[in-house]
Amino acid sequence: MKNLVFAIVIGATAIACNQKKVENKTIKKVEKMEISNTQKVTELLKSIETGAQEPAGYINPNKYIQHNQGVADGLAGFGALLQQIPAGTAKANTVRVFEDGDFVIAHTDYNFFGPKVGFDIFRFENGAIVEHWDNLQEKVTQTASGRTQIDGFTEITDLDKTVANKTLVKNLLTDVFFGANPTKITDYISTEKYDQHNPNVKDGLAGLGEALASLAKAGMPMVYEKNHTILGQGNFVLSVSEGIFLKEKVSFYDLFRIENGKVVEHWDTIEKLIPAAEAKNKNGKFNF
Amino acid sequence: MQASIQKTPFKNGLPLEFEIIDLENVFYKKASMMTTPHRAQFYHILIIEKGSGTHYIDFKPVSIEDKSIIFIPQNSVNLYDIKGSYTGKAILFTDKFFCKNKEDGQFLNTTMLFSSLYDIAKFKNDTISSEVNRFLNAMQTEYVRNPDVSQYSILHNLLHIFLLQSEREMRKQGFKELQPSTNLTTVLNFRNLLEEQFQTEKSVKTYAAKMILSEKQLHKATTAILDKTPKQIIDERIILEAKRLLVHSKQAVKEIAYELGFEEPTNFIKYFKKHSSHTPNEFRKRY
Repeated sequence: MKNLVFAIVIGATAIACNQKKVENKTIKKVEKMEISNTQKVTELLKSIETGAQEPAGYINPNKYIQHNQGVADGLAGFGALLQQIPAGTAKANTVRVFEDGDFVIAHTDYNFFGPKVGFDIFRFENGAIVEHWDNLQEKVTQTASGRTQIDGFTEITDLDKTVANKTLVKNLLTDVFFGANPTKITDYISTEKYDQHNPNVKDGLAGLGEALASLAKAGMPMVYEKNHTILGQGNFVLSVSEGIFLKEKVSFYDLFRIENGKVVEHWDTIEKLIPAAEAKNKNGKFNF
Repeated sequence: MQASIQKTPFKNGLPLEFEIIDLENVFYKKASMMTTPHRAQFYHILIIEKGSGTHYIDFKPVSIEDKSIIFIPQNSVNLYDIKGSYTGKAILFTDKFFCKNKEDGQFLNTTMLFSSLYDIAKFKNDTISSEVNRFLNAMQTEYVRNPDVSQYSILHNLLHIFLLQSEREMRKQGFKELQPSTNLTTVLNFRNLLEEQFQTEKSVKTYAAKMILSEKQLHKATTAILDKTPKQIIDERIILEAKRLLVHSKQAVKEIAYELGFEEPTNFIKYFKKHSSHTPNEFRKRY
């Protein structure tokens, strides 16, 4: 009896696999005709390095709302930025890319005007990029955890848990980062494994606690003032917030990886905000 | 007198008369304004991270050094060194910001950090973990926060603690302050009275009478505290104002003489030369 059940299960799995293969084939066919948004973003970012012209065609030439406050609005602004980079010096290696509705989020290892790690968010309308946000931070050679600011887990899994994981991060922000219920931190972050990629913080919950305490003691607590959006797919969730770090107004982009209902890995970039008077466009850093 | 020196009023429209600005930015962007002498209507605290050169406060040189904090009283004339370099922050605030009550006013009036009884207050701030830095950081963090109803009071109190910690640091670094005494009170009252009336009133006798003291008593107090006679103190104040006007206004010497209460310009010229070893015109040319 037991064996029979086992056989049936195997049989079912085999059928399921076959079906998946068929599905994959059809998807691939579709992709040949129309490449995915994540693919477009990856190609566009890569073109910063290669100088390829075609990926800029993924941007709507009549509407490209730029939120990087150091770059002028429109496709022309993007072109002007590329021209500033000395030819052949740029590197762009997108390590993680995922999508949430019309948004595509990329986590990229950059080198232009020095090594940087960056998050880029693109919004699509009718298959074309119409809006862009980003947050960059310089790369350091030595980190507190020994991890780099960009290495670690990359595979997107748990596609069925997107909503639950986004909710988890939303509650983590409200209760811990915004301080409604800080003691609930262990409800959200795993006590067993918390791989830290912030260059100044050690691994684990203890590492986070230690870093926050030493900042507060020096009179410069890290302050989260406002969350602007939470975007996610499967096991990856990105939150975009603003606040204060080391006495400056900054934007916080925090990427969390969730495993079995707990955050187990964290990457971030913290960028100093450009005062509105010095901004090259009027779109604001956020405004999702 | 009110209109004759270029005054730098506090920026209009600021919700608080308190600002923390980047010294480097201000220095490079507003170089012409900063290196032209101007009289500031706010207290300055210069937090120098790295710096070199000489800053002039009321014509007295103060050297700019790495990791130091300099306290500049309101209404003094600042001249930034055009060849010098300053990186760090400047905290600016007004009487209106700080003086919520009588005690606050009294503190600002008497603290060694801003008192004209002493040289310009300055100390070395090279210990990162110092209490002074803790409150400096906290002030900067609070300053950039999104404003709410608590912000003014928090900033006010942090500034007060920062000033108190700075006083403590000054004492630690060997600064000797004057102990409270009847003589000190007399000198402070005399200074305040002089500040109000020096343009029109130059007689020691009148000041003493206004304070209900004999000339001898006033003399005893100023010599004990400052080792200067009342007459010397009056002369110094008039000469300082004359210098400020000569350098910072375009008024003719005879107009300045009149403004300072001299009926005959020649008397003013003689007086100025006697106390500063230059004629007014020579002094003006030097700046």
